[in-house]
Amino acid sequence: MISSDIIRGYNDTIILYLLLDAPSYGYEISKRIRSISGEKYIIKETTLYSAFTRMEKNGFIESFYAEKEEGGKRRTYYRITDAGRAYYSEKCEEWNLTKEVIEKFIAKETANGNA
Amino acid sequence: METLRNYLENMFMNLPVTPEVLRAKQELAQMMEDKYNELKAEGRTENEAIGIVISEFGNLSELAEDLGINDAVRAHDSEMDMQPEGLHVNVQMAEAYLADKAKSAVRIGIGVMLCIFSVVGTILAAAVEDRPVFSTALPAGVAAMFIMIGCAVGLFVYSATKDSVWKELERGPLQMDFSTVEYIKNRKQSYHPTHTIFMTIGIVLCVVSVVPVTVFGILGDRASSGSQNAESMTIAAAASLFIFVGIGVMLIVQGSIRKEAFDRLLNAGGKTVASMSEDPEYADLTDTGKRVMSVYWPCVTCAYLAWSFLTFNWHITWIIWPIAAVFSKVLQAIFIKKEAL
Repeated sequence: MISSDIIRGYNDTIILYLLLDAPSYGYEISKRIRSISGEKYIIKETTLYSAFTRMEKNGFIESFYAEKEEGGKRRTYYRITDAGRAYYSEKCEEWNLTKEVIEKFIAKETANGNA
Repeated sequence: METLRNYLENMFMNLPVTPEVLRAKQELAQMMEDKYNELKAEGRTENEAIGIVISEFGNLSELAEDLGINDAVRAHDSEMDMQPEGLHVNVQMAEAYLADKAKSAVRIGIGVMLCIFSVVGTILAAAVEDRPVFSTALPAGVAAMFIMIGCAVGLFVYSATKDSVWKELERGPLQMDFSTVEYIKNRKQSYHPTHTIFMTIGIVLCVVSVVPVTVFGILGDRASSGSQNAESMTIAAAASLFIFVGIGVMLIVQGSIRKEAFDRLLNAGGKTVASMSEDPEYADLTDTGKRVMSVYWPCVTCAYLAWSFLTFNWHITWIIWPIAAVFSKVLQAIFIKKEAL
């Protein structure tokens, strides 16, 4: 289980990634986060909804009502906007940089040789 | 699903009704419902599914800024700040505490029941004592009594040891966040019907416990006073009284302990429920009145048992109960607080 403090800054990135290919809705997104992370990250409902409202306000995503299948339940779907895609690639670059920097300060285990 | 709906409903109860808040509630409800349905489809039980959904729900304070409900959430949090060194209790911990308490309620209930049952053996033995065939009945009855009391004491000690891990929690004060308080309130609400059933059946059993002795007492009198058979019947009926009372008290004890666990959490943490542990029936009484009423029924019970066992007039002694019931109302009227009039 990952500490939510650490991952907070990247919730938006995670959600935007899942919206890159197709629009999706709340529970489907939370389920995919869970399975892609190998059950290591379970996003709280309130965290997810808070991210939705914030990103919608910032214009990174748009919401619309739709039915999953014919006659199914109407749900709020979220779709990524162009601004959202731009923000996503920005965050990806930021992460690569962060990773590169932090990595330099992480002690390598002796089992990996004397790196 | 009803539990989840109530949980969310309670959570949002004190928030202002704005379009943002309504939308958030609707969306969160949808996510919870989807997750719940999938867990059920995976073969989880109702309780497991609800537990998982609630433990993964998160905290409303995360949404406070987005929804413009900072004030409402902060109002609750500042209440919390007044007891900063309290033990922090989360949903999982409250759940574990309630589950442990429910188990110990069963143990203590059975222990009390065994204590009450323990006299049955000796009463029955006394009934057949004079007949030569049953010469060993009395020692057997007494032995049964000690075995039952022994088991009961064992149960009490075991419960006390088990419960001691919650000592710190029970001493309070506790720190709970908004959603935990709502969760416990909600659990308490869903426990309420069970509580009512336990209490009602318990009280009914205690009341009807006097029926057999009364009936057999009267019948025995009519048949032929002094006949050995009639006397044995009366004594057997007296034994059945303890069986009824035993089961009744077991239900009442069990129900009360479980309810107390909820109230303890809510009183020590949420401060939203004011002294619920006090018997609401006596809430309007003066302090002396409350003290008198707390020992009243135990005293009546002692008087009843003492009178009955000393005279063996079970067919008359029951009259204590209706008189005592009327007298308790009189006492309550005497000790009522001035402001409550």
